[in-house]
Amino acid sequence: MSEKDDDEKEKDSHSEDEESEESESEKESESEEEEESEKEPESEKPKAAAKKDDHAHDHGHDDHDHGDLPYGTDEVHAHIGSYKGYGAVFMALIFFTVLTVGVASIHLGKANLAVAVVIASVKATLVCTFFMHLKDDNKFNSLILIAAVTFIGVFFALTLNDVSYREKLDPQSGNRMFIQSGDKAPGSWENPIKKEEAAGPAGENKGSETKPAPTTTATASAQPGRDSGEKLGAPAGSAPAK
Amino acid sequence: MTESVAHADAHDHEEHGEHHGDHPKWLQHHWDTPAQQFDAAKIGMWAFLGQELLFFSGLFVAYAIYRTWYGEAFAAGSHELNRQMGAINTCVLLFSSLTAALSVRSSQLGKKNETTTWILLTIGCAFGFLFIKYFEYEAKFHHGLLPGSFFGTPRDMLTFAPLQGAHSVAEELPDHTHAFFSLYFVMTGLHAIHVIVGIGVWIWILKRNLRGDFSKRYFTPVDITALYWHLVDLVWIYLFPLLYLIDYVPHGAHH
Repeated sequence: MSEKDDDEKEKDSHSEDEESEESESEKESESEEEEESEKEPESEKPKAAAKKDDHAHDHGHDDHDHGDLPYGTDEVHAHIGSYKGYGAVFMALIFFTVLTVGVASIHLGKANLAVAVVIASVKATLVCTFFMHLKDDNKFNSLILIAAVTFIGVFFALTLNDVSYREKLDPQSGNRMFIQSGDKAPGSWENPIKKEEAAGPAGENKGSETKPAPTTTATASAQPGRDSGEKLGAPAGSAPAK
Repeated sequence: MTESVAHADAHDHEEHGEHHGDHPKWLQHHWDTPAQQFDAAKIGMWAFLGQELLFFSGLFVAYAIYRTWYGEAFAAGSHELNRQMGAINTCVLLFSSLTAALSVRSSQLGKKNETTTWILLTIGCAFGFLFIKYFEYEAKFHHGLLPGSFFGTPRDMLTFAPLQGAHSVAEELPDHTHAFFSLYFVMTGLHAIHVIVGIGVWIWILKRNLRGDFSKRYFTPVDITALYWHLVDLVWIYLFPLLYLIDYVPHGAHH
């Protein structure tokens, strides 16, 4: 296993320095290479490793020598992009910027936000893949990014789930209502006294003073807390002088 | 034993000490090989970038919550922003990302002077971005579109002298528009801080490049700095449509 690893290292990392080297070490590196090529067909390499190997071969087989470097076999081997490639990515980014401005002026209702986020994500993917070299990088770096994005997704999902099912107390009916729609929140407890009042003359809220059961008292005392919690959504400094 | 053999088995061979003495200046002594140092630096940077994304995501979640609650106010606030300036700044930042990527490329090829040019262009774009941002902020201040509790405060009531005498348009806007401007200033402000930090780091990299620290074999700091710079670009890629393009109406359709 370790032997194989070394072979791989030998293969995929090499310098592009063109200086000549001692013939002795050249011979050795060649003989090592022969060993590799014999082994290669039978060894089942992970895809990433195989790709790296291809890569190494692309970059000029003829100067596959590292004897001039003290530890050349483990030399940094990073992908070098072309002007054309980077230019193309930049043009694509500009294109998507123009597109996102254009699409924003078409009224699609709620879909506008989704379209904007999708276009932004396409642009972000382009930047990560090409400008940030993830395409040719150690796959572990991509994993870190994917992990971060996944947890951002969890963050969004849980928080928005909480917020969209969070209800505020409606002082009139005593029910908890959705802030946005004004509908009754599912599972909300209904105050039977207030319900009676709602059926009776509207606007009379004195029922809360006649607390018949201790359970109602408990709920009533919990209400201010909920109310103040709800007010957090609209800070005191919010209301502009009108 | 020749050097090439010694280094081939650098990890698990007894020639460790011998090999150690050959470290070039830029290879820190606790790394066996340049590749090891490079990979470690990259992984470290990506871990930091992942943290940065999570750090910014808090503000994006806050944005999502307030936008679902106060959609109308967000649209109204967004219409007060200058979309042309936002779009131009997006292009400036995208271009700086390109020049940053090209500075890495030229340093990988060991072209020192070319690297200098690309870094200078990147720094120039960063200053350009902040310059445009300054005018945007100035206009918002002038119209009383200030964050949080300062929102709509007439200028002569502000104690900070440069802000006095503003014409406030805040009265015409729906309730809770202050929430949009709070997020606008915090998100773009935090982004601008990242741009400023980026300029500082680029200047340091420029200095090191001019000193001749980098070569074909060692360009890690340029690569790492460019990664940071691309992250700054990434954040803006999301900020631009989310802040500037809500319910976009072509210019002139609103007051």
